[in-house]
Amino acid sequence: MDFLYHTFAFDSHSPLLFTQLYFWVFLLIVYAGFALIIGKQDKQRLHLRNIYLMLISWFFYYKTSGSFLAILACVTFVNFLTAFPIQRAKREKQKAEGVFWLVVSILVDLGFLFYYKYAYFGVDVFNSIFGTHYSIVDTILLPVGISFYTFQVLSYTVDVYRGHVKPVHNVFDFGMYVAFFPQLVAGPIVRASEFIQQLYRPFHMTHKVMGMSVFWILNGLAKKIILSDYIAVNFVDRVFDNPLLFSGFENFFALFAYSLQVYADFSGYTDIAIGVAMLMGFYLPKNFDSPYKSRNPQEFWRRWHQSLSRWLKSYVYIPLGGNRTIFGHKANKLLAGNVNSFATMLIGGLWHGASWNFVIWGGLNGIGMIIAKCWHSLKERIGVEQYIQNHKVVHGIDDVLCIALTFTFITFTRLFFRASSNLDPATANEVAWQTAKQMMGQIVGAWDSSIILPFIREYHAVVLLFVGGMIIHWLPTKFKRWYRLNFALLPWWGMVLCVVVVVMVVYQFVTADLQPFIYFQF
Amino acid sequence: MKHIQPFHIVQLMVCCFVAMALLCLIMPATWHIGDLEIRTPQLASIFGAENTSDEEEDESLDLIETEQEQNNADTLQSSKHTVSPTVVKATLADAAVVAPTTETAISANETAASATVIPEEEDSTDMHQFMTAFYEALPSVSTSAIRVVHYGDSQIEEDRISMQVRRALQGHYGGGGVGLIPLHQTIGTRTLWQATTMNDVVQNTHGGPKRYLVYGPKSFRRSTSKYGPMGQVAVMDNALVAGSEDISLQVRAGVKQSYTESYFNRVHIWKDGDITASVNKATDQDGDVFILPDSTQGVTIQLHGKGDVYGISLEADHGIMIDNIPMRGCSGAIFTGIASAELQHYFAATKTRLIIMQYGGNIMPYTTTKRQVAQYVEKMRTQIQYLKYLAPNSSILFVGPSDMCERRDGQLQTYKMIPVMDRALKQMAIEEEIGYFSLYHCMGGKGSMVQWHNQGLAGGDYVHFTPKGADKAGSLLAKWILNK
Repeated sequence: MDFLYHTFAFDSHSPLLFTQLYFWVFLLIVYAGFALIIGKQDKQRLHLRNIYLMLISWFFYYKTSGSFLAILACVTFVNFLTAFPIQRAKREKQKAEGVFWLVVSILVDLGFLFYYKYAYFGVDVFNSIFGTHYSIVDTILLPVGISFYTFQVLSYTVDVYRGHVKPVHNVFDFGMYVAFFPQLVAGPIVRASEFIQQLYRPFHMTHKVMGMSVFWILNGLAKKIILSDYIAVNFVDRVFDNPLLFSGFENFFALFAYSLQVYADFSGYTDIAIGVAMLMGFYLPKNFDSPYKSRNPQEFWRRWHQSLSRWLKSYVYIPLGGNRTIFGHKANKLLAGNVNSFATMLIGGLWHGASWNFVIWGGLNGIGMIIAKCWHSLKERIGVEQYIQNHKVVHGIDDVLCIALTFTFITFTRLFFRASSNLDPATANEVAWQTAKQMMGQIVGAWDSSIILPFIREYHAVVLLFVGGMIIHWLPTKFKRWYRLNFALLPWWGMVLCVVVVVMVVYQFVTADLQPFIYFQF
Repeated sequence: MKHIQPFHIVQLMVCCFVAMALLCLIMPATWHIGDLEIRTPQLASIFGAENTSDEEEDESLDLIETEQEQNNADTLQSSKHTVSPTVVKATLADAAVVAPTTETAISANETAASATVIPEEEDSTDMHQFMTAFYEALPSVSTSAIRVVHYGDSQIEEDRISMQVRRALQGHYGGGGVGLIPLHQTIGTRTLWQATTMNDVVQNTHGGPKRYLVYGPKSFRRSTSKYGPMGQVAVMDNALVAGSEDISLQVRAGVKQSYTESYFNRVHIWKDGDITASVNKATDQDGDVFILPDSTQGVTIQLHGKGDVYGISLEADHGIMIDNIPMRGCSGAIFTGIASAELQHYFAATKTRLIIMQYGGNIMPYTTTKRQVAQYVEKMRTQIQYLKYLAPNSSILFVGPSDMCERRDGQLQTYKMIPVMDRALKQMAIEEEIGYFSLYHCMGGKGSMVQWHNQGLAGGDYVHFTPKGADKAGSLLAKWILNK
């Protein structure tokens, strides 16, 4: 009885994570059911497959978030239903009616998001402005993945309104699109136009695609457990929890290690999501493209969390006016582009979390992008860019400097990002600001070079993993593609052998406690 | 290209599971390739084997004891436990440098240690009974001031734990100010903002006047043992402060909210030598005590001359003052390294009625045998006897180490010697007739640090509290003191 309860009931202390054996047994059983349903591939079977996957995904979400499944269901039905009057109004050129239904769906979606994610922050801001002392009586817990699926459904209704996609006519198909379990809780944010047609495509798999799926899964597991969890538990968390206990150098290293950790964590999740979805014949959009190879913050945001960047571009930056207008008024291209991208980055910061630190983090990224753009245009204007392009060695040095500078800049902005994470929303601002201040204070005022060698000796595993992780990250794309392809072409027994070896290696780094994915909280 | 059917993928998955299961069955839990230890997941642990029982642990303690009879320093050098070099540096220095000043005591300790009996069971004695001097002084606080001095290791840095004790006690009995602070703040606190200016130049944490510490790295030691009540002294000297011996210190409350600690009406400068001092808002002066006309949240203090500054006390004219004196990396065996005169004078002049000593955590990662526990306890007994001698009118309360966890066999488990240390320290406290507060038990005992971490109350090192956790620990301690 206990076994059945633990298998099927929600337990907040044991969410369903990709890094647990439970998940892989779950996947094996789900896949066996999937294989039975797929059988012959007539249209009826495709609908059955979508119903099956929707129900499985809802179970997955229930295991992760419990009764918050009701919110997911509500959001699904509201957006499914409002898409029809929006499309009808568009067809009949009833703009006001279309806008009305669009606003209804947006209000419902954002209503849930604002209540669960921004209530504490909103009250805090209100109190600061009006000098009041309101507080939220109940404890509000954040439903896992709410920011991801809210953005996903928003993109659907807006795209229907814009006429970019047609409404989905079957609620199960739509439910499967919203809740597809590999990407449900931490993305990538899949836009309707990228996914809906796949719902009606028959299952097709080659040996190479199967090998690629296995590769992404193993790659993601290794990133998450070896690079992210190990570094976090054995070093980064300790420093961020008590910065004053560590020297300036250790704080400095922790910041850089956190940069690698957050990348390995988030991209590790995405890799597994992509691999699992691919095994079922679905293709999720790429979410990362070696972001620490970026030469400037703008490029970084084209390579980092690409699905969010694309979403913000389509649904925030361009509606704000892109590089043409500011608040509806025509403006200079550079000025309009900068103002709107800064505003977009602030919103991007707030999407990540309800705290001033996230706003600061977004704002810093916005400022970084503006400075980089201005610097680039200045270099072009005075002919330096031309010179760099024409001289190979200078070009190489410039590349290295730009990459190092961008990596350092992004790392320091993360001071505010990490300090805000994993905090009780009621105290997030105060604690986050305190942590950020203490870390900067230690880096600037308590740098202790004599600690560097003992530090390397004491934390050699963390240092080696950091250096190794960064080297792998900076390997040429072509080389990475080469070994990926060679893995995908291995015979099935070769893949089994690789799975066993990788699992064994990963197991050596498993930390004793459960480490949830960082982006689950967003 | 060959088309793959879903059942092929099911087969592949099953093959992976079977291969892993076979490996788990065939291979032992740990095996070696050269020096490299390889762990293999075991089917029994995957399907939920129970943790080692208490009885098994007790047996394993004896086994370890016979296998490993190294002294603290040896263990420290060879320990595989990953500790911040910043903390190790301080701990090593503490162990190494304290030794000469307490050499006789330590050799005596080692002899005594072999005779020390560590109780097998938790003693149920009510430890409040040994704190009568403190409780008897409480009725007098409505008209005069008494003091509580809280010494400890990094767990109380940033005014952690002391802050909650102070707020609770001052809430009941009155009082104000944060108590004793150093002339130059090298580690910020949550309750006070402090800035030092020398020769009109604002000093960062590395700057400030020359400091000497009785604990920490050897380079901080001074030729005499005049360290004062904080175990640290700032020396104002022309040779060290080029061209000037003027120091200006600004202090103000560190939190927006109005707590009792934010307000004070007395500034007492603990100094020695040819130093003149002034406080900007003071209207009267009684020796080194500057009297402010009203409670304030901030002052500027000017110091001029040559000499030692042991600390500056921000206090009220009545109620309870509570000093927070953290010593990073310190195991507590340092008091006998501080000259008695200044300590004795401080305890008497401030009417110190309670000395809290919170130590033990720093040696836990390096303590693996009962003998080492006994040696440490005897060292602390010497320190306590020294403090009792210096402050005969004061009670002493020892706060034992918190729960701390390390990874063993892939699981987070309490350091094996913590329960032993807790029992041994309590036994020693009973014998010395001082109070004892078991933070370890109060947290929830074995493995509680993991729970605290899961609730955001403890850091990822499973050793230190987060600010929220320190608040909770402080509240528990305050509640224990008040619930006599």
